[in-house]
Amino acid sequence: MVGVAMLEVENLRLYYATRKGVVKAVDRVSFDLERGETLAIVGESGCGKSSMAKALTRLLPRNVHTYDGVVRLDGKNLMELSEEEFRKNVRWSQISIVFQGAQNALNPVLKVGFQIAEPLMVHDGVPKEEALKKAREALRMVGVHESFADRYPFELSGGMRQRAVIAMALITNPKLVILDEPTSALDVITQANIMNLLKRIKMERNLSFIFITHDIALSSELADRVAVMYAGQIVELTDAEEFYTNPKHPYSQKLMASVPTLRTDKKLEFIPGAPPSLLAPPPGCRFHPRCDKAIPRCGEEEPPAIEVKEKHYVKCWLYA
Amino acid sequence: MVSDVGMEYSLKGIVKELLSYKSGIASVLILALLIGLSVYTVVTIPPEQAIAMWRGENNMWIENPRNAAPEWITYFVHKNLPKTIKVASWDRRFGVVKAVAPIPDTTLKKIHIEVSFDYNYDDFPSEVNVFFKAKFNASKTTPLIKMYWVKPDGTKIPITEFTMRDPDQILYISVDQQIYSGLVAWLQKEKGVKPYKTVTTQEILFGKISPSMEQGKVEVEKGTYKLVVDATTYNEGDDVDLKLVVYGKIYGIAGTDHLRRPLIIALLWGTPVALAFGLTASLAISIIQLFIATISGWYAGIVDSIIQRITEIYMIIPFLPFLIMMAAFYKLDIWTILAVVIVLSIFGAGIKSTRALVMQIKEYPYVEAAKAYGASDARIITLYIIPKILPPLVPGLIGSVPGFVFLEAALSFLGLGDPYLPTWGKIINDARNNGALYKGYYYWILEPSFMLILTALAFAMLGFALDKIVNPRLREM
Amino acid sequence: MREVVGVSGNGYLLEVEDLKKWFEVRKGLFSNPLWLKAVDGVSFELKPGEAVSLVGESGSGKTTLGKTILLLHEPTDGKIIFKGEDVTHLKDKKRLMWYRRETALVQQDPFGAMPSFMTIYRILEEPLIIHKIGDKKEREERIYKALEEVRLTPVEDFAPKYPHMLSGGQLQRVAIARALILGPSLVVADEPVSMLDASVRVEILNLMREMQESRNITFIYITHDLSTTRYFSEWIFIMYAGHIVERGPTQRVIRNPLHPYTKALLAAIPDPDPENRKRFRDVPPGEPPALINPPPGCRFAPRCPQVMDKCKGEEPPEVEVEHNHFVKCWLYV
Repeated sequence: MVGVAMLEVENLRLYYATRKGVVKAVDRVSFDLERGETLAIVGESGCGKSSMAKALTRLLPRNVHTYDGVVRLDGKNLMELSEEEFRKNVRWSQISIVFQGAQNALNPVLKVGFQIAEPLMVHDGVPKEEALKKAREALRMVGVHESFADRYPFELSGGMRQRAVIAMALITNPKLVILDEPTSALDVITQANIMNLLKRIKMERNLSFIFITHDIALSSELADRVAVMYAGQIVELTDAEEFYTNPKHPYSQKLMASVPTLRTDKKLEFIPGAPPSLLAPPPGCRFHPRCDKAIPRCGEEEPPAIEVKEKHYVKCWLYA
Repeated sequence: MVSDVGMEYSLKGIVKELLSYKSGIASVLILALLIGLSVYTVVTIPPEQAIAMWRGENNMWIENPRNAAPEWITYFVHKNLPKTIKVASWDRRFGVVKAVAPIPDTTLKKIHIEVSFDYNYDDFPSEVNVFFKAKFNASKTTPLIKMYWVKPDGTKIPITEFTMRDPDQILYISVDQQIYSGLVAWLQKEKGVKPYKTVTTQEILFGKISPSMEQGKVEVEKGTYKLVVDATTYNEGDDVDLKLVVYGKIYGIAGTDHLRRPLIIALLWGTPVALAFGLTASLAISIIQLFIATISGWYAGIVDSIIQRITEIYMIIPFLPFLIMMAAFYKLDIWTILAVVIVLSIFGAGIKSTRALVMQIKEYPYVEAAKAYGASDARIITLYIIPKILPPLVPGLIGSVPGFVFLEAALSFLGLGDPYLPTWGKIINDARNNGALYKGYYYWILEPSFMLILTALAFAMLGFALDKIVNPRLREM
Repeated sequence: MREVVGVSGNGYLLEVEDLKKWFEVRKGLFSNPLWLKAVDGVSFELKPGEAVSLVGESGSGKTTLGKTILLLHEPTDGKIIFKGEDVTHLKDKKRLMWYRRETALVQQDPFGAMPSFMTIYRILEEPLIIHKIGDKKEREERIYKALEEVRLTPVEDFAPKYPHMLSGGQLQRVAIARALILGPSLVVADEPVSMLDASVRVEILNLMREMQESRNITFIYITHDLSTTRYFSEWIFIMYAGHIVERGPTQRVIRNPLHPYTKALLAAIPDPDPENRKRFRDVPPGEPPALINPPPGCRFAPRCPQVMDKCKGEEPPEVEVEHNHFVKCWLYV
């Protein structure tokens, strides 16, 4: 514990306006993150975790309905900043992001080295020569040979492109890196290699990561803390040790039970039904229609985040 | 997680969504109007009748003014422009007098006809004609006619005196040189006014006689006018009747052209022609291209190569010059033009995009699944691929209709279209050939142009709206 | 788990002998064609009712193998013997239709696998119509029964719906129903749950396992997710760069992997464990090779931590190391 948390998120909301109504993608989410800590946000598709990444980096689409809450980075509320201030001082200089399917996020007509160097030139005003030199260093650091800086993205394999994108996210030395499904579409061994790389970077640089994924087993590769997202809300927030061995929220428990494990024998369970639409979530606790431990109260009132143990929060009436 | 296979298209759903766009509503309304007009026109004026009308058979338009503007032009001109006045000696109404006085002991008859009418317009008539309907034997002595003009103040002006040649003779008062000289002479002698050479017969007949005529300025004299005819017939059974037509300057809802034909006929009839031509061409070409592109895309290999090479050669051939050449060498009727247009377009560029789509869909999982459960190639093409490529084709189909409408109009405009059908392009062609813009007959050009633009606009808007529906990526959230 | 019976002997449903599927790749109009050797010599046998997981990463050739067995690709070389008949280059229309009835495919993308303009009823009716099974009434019975078996009830509600109205999991059930409606003896499922949510995967895998066992269907389950294989099949084939590098009973292979690639795969896969973040995984570097004109020798040699000189020159043969546990590696010859 190093005093005030580096990142404090309070009641963050991001709703979209669509033809069918208001989609509550991120619905009053709160959590803290210390320096050097990694928070994994796990959830299934449609739970709002990708929208969470957009909300934190303010990369919003046109049809935003509501975007408010408090996001404090080292004490400063980022939500108060103007677009220009956020772009200049926060995005990529303090918070950067590795997107889902990032191998395709590279510009196919620009050389790899130039793209990695770009954030330095744009944000820190570093002259081109020096920036390219740093880009080559960054490539080396992520395990790609320097010579690839002069190549085009299509000349690199999927794994190398992912490493290049990670280099791009790290080059400005941000405080926080958001990883949104950084290894999807990569084969298992390459995925393990990338995770090894991220572990190394985490240890060497004392960076904070927010690691967004649907793969619970994979999340344990980096997570110090775990937040489980369901229907736009965080239903459980706790330490890795607690979560992977003894999750408390019924959804977390069912989720863990549905993950096939290689090394241990267990009976696999599944969750009947489907995740709710973010347009019209169920009243009360959003998970209650699929929960086998639901009590009448669950359908009536939305449970608050209850601190079950120190820094272990569960949004469930069973723990009231 | 959801793959990009597209949504289900139900007709109701599409219509509902279409109407949620302003352009959708507007285009549907305009098209409904155009289709309604077409149906109405074809029902009330069958094609043979329309062609006959357009040929002006039997001089059917002789009582229409030439190059008359549409009646609504008075709102813009703020002048009370004259409408055509027709009075016949056989009309039973106030102001028409016919007295037949036989001369005793002879077969001679003295017929006195007076035809009067009110003239309260602010402008002069465009023409004045008298149509005789007489009965006599041309080989014997024919009736003698003496004609006078009586102005509202009672001034009686002699117009002409002649013997009839033909029972249905027409006296073109306003263009007859002799009558004109006679009137000028009368003016000089009786009123001491020598009218400037630009003063017309109508101006003399209907104008205030004043010295200003010498500068060419004539004011309309409003009031009741009378045409008086004293006829003498010589034989038993002879009779003289006449109809005076004072031609106005405005006519109907659309005006008339140089051959006195009401433009509304061509405007109305142009609608079904334009729609039928545009839609038929578009539909036929789309369907044929669909067929060719599907074969090309599905079988790939050498079949594909051949078809693509043919397509490329086709695309290089200059379409319009070719069409013009064909039309210039042969007198083509509209169906042949349509056929030629279709044949010249079937291997067009549309094939390339449809083929690309077919090749894409060919790789879709559900096509592979169909192969796995034993569907034949033919079944897959008709039941699995074509339903998928049809919806994206529809906006293109609709959007290409204006092109064909304009094509037909352009051909007609160049004088290469169907020479007998009244179409919008034909009107513009006539207008141009008769110097419409020089003479200030703007409506002659504007009316068919307006119809063309309206049609094009409707289809274009419909095409865009449908495109937005069919292609979800173009939508706004 | 069922009792594992020997693979050798007769009475096989499916025998694959040195099967190859190469794709021609042309760089230019006039240059010599290159061969993408997606499946480059695969042999195995399966008895009726046996389930096998075919595991490999993307680019390993597993999907191509599955589709080639179903004759959706024409084999370049080798033999496929189904129920004693050589079906490798089956051209006879009647026999081909028979083969299509006997085999079925379940695909990865539930939404892509369904024609979006047909109702669920119609989708299930298609195979029946094509094979001229029953009249309208009989078909309706079969379709409703199929929907019930995959637990899409009430069936009258689901039958008239269109695919976009169903969830991924529900659609995959429809896919399974469609695959089974003709009563096949062999089903190839190509990554059937990869596109589904984690919580739904187990449900679908269970359903497939149930159907497979109750109807005694031979099942080839293609996946890149090793963790699910233990719950599904008694056999496992590990595929790498167009070859099956190891095959045997699932539990045995996972507990005692022989091939260095299998070992690397197992080492790479995490289980949910908070200790994971404190240690590095022992995995070889590099990525799977391109399959175009591969170099001679073992395909895994460039990345293998136990590589020997021999490996780069010659392709290793397959050896049976323990009962029914085969591996293609010079270490065991």
